[in-house]
Amino acid sequence: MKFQTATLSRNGGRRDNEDYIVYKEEEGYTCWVVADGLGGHPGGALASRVVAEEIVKRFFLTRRIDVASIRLYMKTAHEILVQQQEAEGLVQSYKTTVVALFTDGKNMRWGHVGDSRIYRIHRGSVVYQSRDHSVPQLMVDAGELKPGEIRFHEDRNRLLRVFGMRGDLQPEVDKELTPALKGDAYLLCTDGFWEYVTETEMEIDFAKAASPEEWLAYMEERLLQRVQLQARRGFDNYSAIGIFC
Amino acid sequence: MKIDKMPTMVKLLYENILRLTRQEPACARKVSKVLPGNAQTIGAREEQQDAFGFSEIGEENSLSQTGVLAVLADGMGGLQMGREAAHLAVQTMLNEFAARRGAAEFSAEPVQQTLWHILEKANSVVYETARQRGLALKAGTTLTAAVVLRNELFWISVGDSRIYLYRDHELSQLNVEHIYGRELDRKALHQEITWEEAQAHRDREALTSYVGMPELWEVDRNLRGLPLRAGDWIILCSDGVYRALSMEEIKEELVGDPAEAAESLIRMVIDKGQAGQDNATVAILACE
Repeated sequence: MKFQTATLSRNGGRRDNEDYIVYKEEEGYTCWVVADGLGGHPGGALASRVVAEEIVKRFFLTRRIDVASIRLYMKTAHEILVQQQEAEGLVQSYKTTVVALFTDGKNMRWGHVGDSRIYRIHRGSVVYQSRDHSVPQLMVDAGELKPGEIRFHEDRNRLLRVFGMRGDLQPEVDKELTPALKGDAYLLCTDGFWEYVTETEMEIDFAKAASPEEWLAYMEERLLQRVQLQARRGFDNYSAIGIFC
Repeated sequence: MKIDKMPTMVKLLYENILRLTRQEPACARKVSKVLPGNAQTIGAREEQQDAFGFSEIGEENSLSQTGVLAVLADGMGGLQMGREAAHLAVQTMLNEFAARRGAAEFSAEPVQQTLWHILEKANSVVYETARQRGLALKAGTTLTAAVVLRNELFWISVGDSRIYLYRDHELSQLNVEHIYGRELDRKALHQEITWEEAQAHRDREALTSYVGMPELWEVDRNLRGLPLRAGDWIILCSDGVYRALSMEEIKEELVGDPAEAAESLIRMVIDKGQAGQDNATVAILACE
């Protein structure tokens, strides 16, 4: 299976971009990672880069995509980040979300921590989206909020799990192995991106796009229009990876 | 226990829990019927330069074989021949669609390709008619068309008319408008100009592509069918509608019978009584 990948990462209305995106392909194995650093300059940008790069590195040491291995890549990255915090005496200031997708060329598996998301498009429709580790997602689970209403919820930024937090990290890794199917598409993105692009719009722009670059470009155009209608200054960094199978 | 050995009720429950935990959308109901709706007003203008039309709906095989087509055109205001350009374009689209989708030789043609060919035809008809009258490049029209075929939507659009999908109380625009503002925004994104400059530019709304140019220029369309669900509405409208009404106002009217919804949208445009109100037209395809 050949994958086409496009990436996008921008400052938005902020001075620094604390998001980090990376992907690597080698001998049919590929891994894509999107991370959204938290905590301000310089900790956020450092956390997202350290964790994302560590996950890629760990994956290519073993090239395994079973649940336990993916959890281990993430836990190791978390511990390295915590050690780095402690070494520099900046406890609690280096944090990041992560969403990561792995493939051995035949099957796909993904995992995440925080509110960066992965979407799977199959036969033109969003058939899967990850659940945020956030307060409003808990409210969705309890039936108090609709999934689409997370976008506008006041507690949207209250995350329950992030890399660099105190104690043990529990990454969420999808239990089902998903076959890599021609015609499928994946979108990995930070909250600065999905906040302004709805799932229906992801489907619409996928239907229009000849390449993942076009897909991201159409969605970015929507994002910028929507931001313009609201406050232009101060809006979040936004990043995304688009993958066509 | 394996899922295929479970009693039916338990299996259903189990599948639902699986679906909920994975946040997958409920198995959407298929589209079995399409209902049209339309309305228009001349606004405060002297001439109605908007035009619209539907392919024949009602025959049982129209949804599954030929597809149901809606077309809307907004003849270019201030130009001579604007009204005629819009009508010519719509009529050409309807005739060519019926001919091509009905012909055995095109039976294998994907509907996106049909839309492209009939748009090219409409473009050359409008351009040639204008040229023969010495009005080349002085007459033109926007053109927006949508086809519902089985469970999928296909569209094609040139100019600044809009197509929306209304689903689950959300209104999503399908096409991008071909206006100079897009280019200005792109320049602002790459920091060649400021966002304020892009917003304030006097030519923001100038069309960068329309039907009636020597060749098709920018065209918005989908390459893959957009999966539809029963309950989805497709709304085509000219700028006279969306410049008068907000997205929220449009959404409020999209209930009940599509013919009545179209009427109430246009009534709302009229009631607003904006100075210099442009021609306003809406055409709806409601999937059931």
